[in-house]
Amino acid sequence: MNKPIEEPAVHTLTMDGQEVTFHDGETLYEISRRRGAEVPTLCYDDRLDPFGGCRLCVVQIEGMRNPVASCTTMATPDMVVHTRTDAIERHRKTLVEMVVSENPAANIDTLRGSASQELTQLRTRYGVDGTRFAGKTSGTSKKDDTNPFIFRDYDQCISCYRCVRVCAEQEGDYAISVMNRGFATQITTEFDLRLEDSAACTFCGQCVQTCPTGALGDAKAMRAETIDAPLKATRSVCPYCGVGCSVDLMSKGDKLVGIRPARDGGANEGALCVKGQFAFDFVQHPERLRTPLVRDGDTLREATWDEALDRAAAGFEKARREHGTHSTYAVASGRAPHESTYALQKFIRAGFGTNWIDNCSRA
Amino acid sequence: MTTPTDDELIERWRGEPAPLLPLLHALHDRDGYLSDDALRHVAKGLRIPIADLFGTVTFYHHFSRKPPGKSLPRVCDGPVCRMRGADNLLHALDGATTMPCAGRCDAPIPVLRGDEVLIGTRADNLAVTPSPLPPPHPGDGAECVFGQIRTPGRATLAGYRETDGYVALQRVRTQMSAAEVVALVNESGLAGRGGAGFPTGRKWQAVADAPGTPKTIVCNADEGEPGCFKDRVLMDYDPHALVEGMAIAAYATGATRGFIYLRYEYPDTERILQAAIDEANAAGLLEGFALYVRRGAGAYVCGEETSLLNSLEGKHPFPRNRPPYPVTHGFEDRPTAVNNVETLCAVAPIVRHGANWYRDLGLGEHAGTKVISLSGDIARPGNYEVPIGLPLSTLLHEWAGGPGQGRTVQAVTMAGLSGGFIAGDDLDQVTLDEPSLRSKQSFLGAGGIMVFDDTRDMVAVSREAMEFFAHESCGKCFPCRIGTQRLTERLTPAGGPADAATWRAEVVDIGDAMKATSACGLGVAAPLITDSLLRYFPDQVTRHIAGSES
Amino acid sequence: MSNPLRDMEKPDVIFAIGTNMTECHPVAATRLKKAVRRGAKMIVADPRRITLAEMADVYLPLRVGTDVALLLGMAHVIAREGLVDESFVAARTENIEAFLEHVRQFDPDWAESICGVPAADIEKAALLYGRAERGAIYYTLGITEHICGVDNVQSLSNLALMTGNVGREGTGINPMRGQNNIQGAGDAGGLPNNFVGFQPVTDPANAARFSEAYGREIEPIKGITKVRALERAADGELAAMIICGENTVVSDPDRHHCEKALSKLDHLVVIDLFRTETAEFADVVLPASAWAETDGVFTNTERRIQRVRAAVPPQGEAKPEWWIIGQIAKRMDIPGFDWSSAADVFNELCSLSPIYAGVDWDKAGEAKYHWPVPEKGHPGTPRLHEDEFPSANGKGKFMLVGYRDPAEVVSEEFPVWLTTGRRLQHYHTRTMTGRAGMHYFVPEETLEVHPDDVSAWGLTDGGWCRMSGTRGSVEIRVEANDRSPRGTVFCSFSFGDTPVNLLTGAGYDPITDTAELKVCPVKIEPAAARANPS
Repeated sequence: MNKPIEEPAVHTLTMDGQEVTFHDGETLYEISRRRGAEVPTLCYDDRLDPFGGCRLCVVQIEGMRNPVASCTTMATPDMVVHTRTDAIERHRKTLVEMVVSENPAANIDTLRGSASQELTQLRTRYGVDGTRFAGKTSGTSKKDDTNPFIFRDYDQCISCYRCVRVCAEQEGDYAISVMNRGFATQITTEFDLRLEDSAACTFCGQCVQTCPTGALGDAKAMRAETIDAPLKATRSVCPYCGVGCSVDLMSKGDKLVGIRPARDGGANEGALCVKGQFAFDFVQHPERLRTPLVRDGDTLREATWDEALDRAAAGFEKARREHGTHSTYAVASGRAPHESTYALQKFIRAGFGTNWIDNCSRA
Repeated sequence: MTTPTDDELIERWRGEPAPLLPLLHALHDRDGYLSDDALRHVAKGLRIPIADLFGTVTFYHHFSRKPPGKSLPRVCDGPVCRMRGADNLLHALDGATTMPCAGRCDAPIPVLRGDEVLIGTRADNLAVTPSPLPPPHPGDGAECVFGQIRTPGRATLAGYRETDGYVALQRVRTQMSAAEVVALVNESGLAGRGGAGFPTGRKWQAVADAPGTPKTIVCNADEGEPGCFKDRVLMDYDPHALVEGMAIAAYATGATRGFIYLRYEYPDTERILQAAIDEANAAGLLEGFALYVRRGAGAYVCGEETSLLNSLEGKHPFPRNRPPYPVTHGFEDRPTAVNNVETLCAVAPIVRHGANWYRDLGLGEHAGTKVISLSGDIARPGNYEVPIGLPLSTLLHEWAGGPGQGRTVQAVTMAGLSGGFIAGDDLDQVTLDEPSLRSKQSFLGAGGIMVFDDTRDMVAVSREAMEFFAHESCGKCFPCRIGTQRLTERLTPAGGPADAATWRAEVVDIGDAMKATSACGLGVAAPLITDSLLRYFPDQVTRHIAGSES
Repeated sequence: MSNPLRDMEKPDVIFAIGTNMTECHPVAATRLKKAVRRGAKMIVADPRRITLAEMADVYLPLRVGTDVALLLGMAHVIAREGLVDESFVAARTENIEAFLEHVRQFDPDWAESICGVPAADIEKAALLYGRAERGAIYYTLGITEHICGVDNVQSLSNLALMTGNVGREGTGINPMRGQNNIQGAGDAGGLPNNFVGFQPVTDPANAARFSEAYGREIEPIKGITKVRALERAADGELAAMIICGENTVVSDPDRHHCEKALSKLDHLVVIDLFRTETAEFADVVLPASAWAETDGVFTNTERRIQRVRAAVPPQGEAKPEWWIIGQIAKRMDIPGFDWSSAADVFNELCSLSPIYAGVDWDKAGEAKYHWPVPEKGHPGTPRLHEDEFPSANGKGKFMLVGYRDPAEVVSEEFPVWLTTGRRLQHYHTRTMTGRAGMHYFVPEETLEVHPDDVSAWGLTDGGWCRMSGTRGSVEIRVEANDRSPRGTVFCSFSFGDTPVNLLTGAGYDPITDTAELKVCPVKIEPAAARANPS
């Protein structure tokens, strides 16, 4: 029996002049987000342990000298919190200006990844044109890492460590880490190797999808940057193993351009593996069958649907006529949707009155 | 003796507490550098992800990744050593690289070669030289931590015992409850002498009260602040005082293990501490308290207590988010008291002489003493144990003989570099206590004071200071990582906007954001340099922006 | 799975056996890794030192095909140490006395003599699992693809029952289903013994109901399995076959036999995305619309019913399979194929399936229902067996299982164990991954051989060898690594040019007809260069 889950204690605090209730263990950032306060952040990913790196989410708590990072600060009863004072907004703008100043200007196509526009959006929100605090840039792109899956444009890196943390905390691979320190910080792998040479990286792509600047890009999707059509997302499920990860199919016009994990997918909660993330080209592969084929002696030749269906039906009619109901067998697919198998089993059961059907689970 | 293999060294350390740093040092000592193979073996042996281990190794300044590595000389380029010609020495030594302030500002210039500390100003006068003792006490009042330090032989167990050593520990164990020890320390007014100033008794109480065992005492001996060299002299000449203080702290808190986290640049001190611990253990003085020395590898931020704990645990030494605090979730997530060397060294004298005695060592309302590491343009540099509340001018001019002949004091730093500058009239007004210094937007901190006479270019001094902070910024939080870099650039000739108003606005905005939002003290303190530069030396700043270096 | 995927983060003891999860179900494995990061202990039993084994607290490197012996040894220790959950056993199970009597003879020393795992490690694993507050078992085809697959599963079930690790959060017996909709294929009635929703065809009431619904008398007799169907075909006793989306020739055991079977058919219709090796035997090949082009429903390994949606138009003239099959049926005057959308098909399925009765096309779109969903308004059932088991009296029955050798065992002629599996970047016969850039990672198949065996057998790392069994031989490149123990080699069946299933197929589980793909005695000889296979 499942015990009913005990409701955690409810407390109240004041945020931006309004009384808010919260549960034990909630952070100020979580409460602010629940209230729609739009506290900015660049290092936050709600699947990851709070990190407190970007400091954009600082808020002022009455009675404390300095602002605190709301993502790492647990709410306590009766706190009085201001998420948006003039001073805090000024510091946030300065921080955005600082972080923009560390990278060369670039247009980051949204195809790079799910979170790739976060910094761009903050630039717009704070009206930052990129001219202030000019100086040395940080991060060195890995141009030698020419793998066709993960584009490593660390010129655009802001050292938020979301890639490092998602790899450790979500994927459990610990393939990515931080090298050096301070402004010389560089996202790295074991011995700064290319991803494919590091034993730990499985190319699951989670680092790509959490990167808030496009420093990590989905190289396969980026092939479609030149296609002039709106990017559309269609919710679906990954076609590979039985885990059933929710994905968004990214398309431009008639072209399937990429896959993104669904953060709200029940099975995967934002995770994918290398196949789910990158192995979709088969859909529009030139070797796809585009017309029915029928046998002429030793060869298969193209045919119309009518001819092929007639041939198919006639063959089964003949088998049934000449060899009875136990003449015909169907093999269903463990990859096709329910409707395929359902139709096939009905074909056998309604057409032959037998249960002569199986699927591929025995092999 | 044959050279130990990787596996033998891993086996030697795997079962020990906090094994990563000593294991890496063992490999680094053996090969002079940390090879890929060695790191792969360590990763496997200690079950640390190899990418994490690689990243963590690169965080530390002193771990070499290629031969000959460790044997190449490292020349201190701290502020005082630069004034004494560190650049020339650096160029005179083959293969030499720099290291941040190595804590020899009272007798520059230190050069680290292997595990030898050489002192000299030219390539031909470098010699192994022990730390200078503190100058004879010039004040009227008594000293606490320096009370017996000049007694010859004090560093040995026999010598220490001849001068009342381990009497306090004995008294505590036989006559006092843990709660009484905490109460005594509370009454004495002893507070963190590493700079944070948190009341020591309250910290111990919190650890004693916190659930979870084992509890741990960590001595923060990662004295990385430029211009600070007080912990070194305490450990070199009075190591048993630290051991005794830690044993008393363990008794008061219920801790059963302790670590002294020692900065890399003090190899002699490591040997002295280990010898003292061995002696104390052999004499049965540390029963129930396992005490270990762990050597850092060159990272200023590891002086921040939560970075230090991460470093001890073998993790990337980023500061942790607080709360929870180390008193409840410290080393390996268990209750931990992190105390500075000087704080712990004060404990035994307080137990022996009483809380009131210590409290009364301070002037006026202030309790106790503070060791000031004084260096730079001053006649008698060295460590001075001052009563808290002593006027700065008394220290500079009466105790330490003032600046050089015909020179005046232009500015001093506070808290090493972290408190920025005190200059102008404030030099004559401030007293050495937190309230007085806070009123000047500074603080006493770990007690390093560097003196700059009227010949010094304060913009250049500021740039060197900011370079240090940029070099040591851990990279975790944006304001510090980017801010220290941008401020350094703006203090560099022809750096930053040419327009004076724009230049000032940028420097002020960066500094304000750093102070308000940085995750740890490094980023909060660094802009005090630029703040005080702008406040005291607006003309030098104007000349700098105009491109004519003063 | 008895428990939902999110439960994988909740056990305090994980027992993973016969599952190379980080490669075959990578996203599910991330949840186990999280549990381990939070302090859960993990036992991993696998002949190969797979990635999970590297993370394990106890690793049990058993000889291929000896799972029953290992699990009997564990049950023995759990019983001996008094770790049986008495109240659970009393309330929820039957046959415990006989079971305890049965396992008394199988101590860890005996188990070691069969499976090769040191008795001390068997003890350690048994104590860990037996003392778990929340112990969860995960397995995959390493358990089922044996002649004793059912015995293996029942042995796991016995362990879970005796310790009460069923029906609660973070527990359960959890098979990880291999293909995206293999669960759905069963749900939708693609089985010889069950109608949709696992309703037995032999139950006269079911047969009557479906006969009524489908407008034709359906015999209340189990159909034959695919394995038997292929045998019949090979014997000339089957006239026609329709194969949907399966590359039977490559994925099934004993390829020669399979090819012979297909070529003897009078009529073979293949519906697929590509012109596969199997399609080459067809009389008619019909192009199906692919994933991302087709609306439909998948059910995943945790029984979660989810919609897939078309994002792009089909290639060429490709059509959904339900449409294609419907068109054939109509041409044969079979009634009931007048669907106009996938929704029509799925809703019909739901109307006939008690476990889908509470869902429909729209609810499947919410992706939150785990079957059974017995009626409208029901929230679904993420966790099975909370109160009872699906048996006549609702009790879980301990089964008395004994160890049997694999169908074929190593001999002087074939002294090496071959075991097969998947690789992370490839999937089945690569009809999909082979056309999606994954060759970048794994361009060709290799045979993983222990470095000591590489030298002992005169092979070279990166060189070629000939691997032969009783049914055939293949040439394959050698990869020296110590993941496999000495005397055991591994490769996947993903590459058509390395048709390892020429060798497999010695036997089948007598109950499920699942082939013993995980065990095959072979001999390995150096080869100069690859000759053309088959």
